[in-house]
Amino acid sequence: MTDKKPSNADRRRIAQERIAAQRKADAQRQRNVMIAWIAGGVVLLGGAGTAAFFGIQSLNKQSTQAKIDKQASDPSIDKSATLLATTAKQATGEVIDGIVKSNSMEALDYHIHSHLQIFVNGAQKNIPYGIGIVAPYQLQTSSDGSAFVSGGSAFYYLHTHDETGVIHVESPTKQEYTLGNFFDVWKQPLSSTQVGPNKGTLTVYVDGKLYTGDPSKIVLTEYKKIQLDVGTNTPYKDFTWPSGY
Amino acid sequence: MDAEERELAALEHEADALEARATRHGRAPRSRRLLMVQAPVLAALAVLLLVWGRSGPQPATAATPSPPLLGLTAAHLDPPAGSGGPVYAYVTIRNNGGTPDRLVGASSPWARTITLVDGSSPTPQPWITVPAHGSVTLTAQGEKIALGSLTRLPRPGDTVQLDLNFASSGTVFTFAPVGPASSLTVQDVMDAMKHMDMLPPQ
Repeated sequence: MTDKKPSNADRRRIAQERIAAQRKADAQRQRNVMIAWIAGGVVLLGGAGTAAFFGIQSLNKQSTQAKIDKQASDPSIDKSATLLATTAKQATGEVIDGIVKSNSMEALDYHIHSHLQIFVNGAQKNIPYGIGIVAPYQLQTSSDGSAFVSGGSAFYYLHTHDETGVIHVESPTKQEYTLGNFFDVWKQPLSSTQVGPNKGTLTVYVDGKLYTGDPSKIVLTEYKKIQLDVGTNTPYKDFTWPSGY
Repeated sequence: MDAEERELAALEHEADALEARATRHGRAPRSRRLLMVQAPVLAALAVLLLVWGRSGPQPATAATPSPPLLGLTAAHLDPPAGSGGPVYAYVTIRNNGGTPDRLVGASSPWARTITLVDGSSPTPQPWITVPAHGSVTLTAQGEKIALGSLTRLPRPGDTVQLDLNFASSGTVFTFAPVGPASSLTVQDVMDAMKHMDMLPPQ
């Protein structure tokens, strides 16, 4: 019995099949390598993303907790439950909007008052005492039992002493200030869709008349009365100025 | 060797070379070897990142005590006992911070000298420390602020500017009534602030 020598045609076919098989295997290996790299990248990115998520969440929690702790432990900050927002985040002496400065001893040649009241879905939200007054505060209790700020380490030209909503405008020179400037000192948002932390349709009354412009552009003038309604439209409520203003 | 034989030999050589290369790469395919090395490293890295993310860097405040957080209440002055003074001022200073602060001095447009005295003794005492998470209350029987060398004799109903200087918290500009602490009004403060660091008109 003798081995039959393959024909040239068989040799060609066998060689081509071997080459094709190896090239197919090569292509498969390349695909597997690619998949391995992609899988590795996904695992790595997933890990990093998760770590970043928890890291940011942790930092946010710490930041929020620090603010809550400071607010809770500050002996003089207004913590009334009916406030629109506290003064925990307010400005601490830097110039606001390029015009609202703070001082401690300049002569006050321009001294007027405006009034602000805010309703959120019909519920009145008070304006805290001490907006625009830099802590530490000196607090006094008036004869009616209400607290007011009678001193501090610096006074912005726009500030509040009590929760009545009276905004004191006291500056060395006559200057036009707006409700937006006041909210910027307070570091609270004010727009046609948001007042402080509350979002919703805004209805604005100025001296009892409907105002449809940008609320932050309302100029604070002597005895101007401003009412902001977030959500439900609360009919305008007049404010009576106390004697001495 | 004819041309066909050379072509066949070349084809068979190429097939041999490809098979030899595959054999050199070992039994485990490259991708599997890569995964075998890569997977534990990546898994360890991912776990490490997760643990770091969950624990996070410890806030600096956890190790260091919080700064002083002062609040002043019930500031007031006694009406003067005589025409030349001194006049005594009282205030409660609360510190809710984790670090003490120290009252290091005071000034007022109403007096040239301001000292801390104890009880009925006119001898100046060292200024006081407000402890962390504590408070200090100045009283008639204990420590109190004495305003001497008066530039004007305060009368009941006057509002006196008294600037209290703290080592950490800086100056706190206070306005205190002559009389009960509750007698001060916002209007009184407004009027006094019109004449910061000056005596108000009589």
